[in-house]
Amino acid sequence: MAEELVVHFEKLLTRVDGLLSAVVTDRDGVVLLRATAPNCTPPFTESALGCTFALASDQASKLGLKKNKSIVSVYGTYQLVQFNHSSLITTFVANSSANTGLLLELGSELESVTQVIATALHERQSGAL
Amino acid sequence: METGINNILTKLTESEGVVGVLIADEHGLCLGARGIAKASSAGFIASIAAHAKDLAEMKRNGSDGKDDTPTISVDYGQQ
Repeated sequence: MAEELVVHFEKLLTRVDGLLSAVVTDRDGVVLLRATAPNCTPPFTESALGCTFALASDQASKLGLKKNKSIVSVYGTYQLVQFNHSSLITTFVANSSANTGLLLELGSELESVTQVIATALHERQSGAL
Repeated sequence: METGINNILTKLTESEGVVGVLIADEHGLCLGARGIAKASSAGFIASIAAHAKDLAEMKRNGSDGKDDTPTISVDYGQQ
């Protein structure tokens, strides 16, 4: 099943022009699932994406607007679209010219997939205890 | 700040036969939506428009270079 998920994520990279990488991490930055476009070397540490976003999302949730769902960060060359899916974080890394709206919708579509991963993780942890 | 866009959306919605209006920017982000148009469609619509414009530019290469942003019609058959 893990391989099927990776294949599914790799197919996602072809759906949006300029999408370079799709990563699912937990809130501590542990990479659970990764799909990267060929010949693409992102200039950052993937594990840092998850924990940095977790901090930012927690702070954003304190603004009195209820729970933060996603954050878009646009840089000179790249953009990050990150989603707070309960215990897991989904990160899309794309060129700054990529379609941000499409990436936001993609993240919403993937919420059911990350929910499956989160449930499996929770069951595994419960079984281990 | 959004008064101008809201006025345009209202005017377009009042046109005969129009059941929904959506305005999206080049990043696929929704600036406003009315009627049956959903804000979540903005990304897809902007993507279709961007690809159509690429096709139009391919056709335009070698011509007088006039900017010709295409109008796109998508037919779903019976509603």
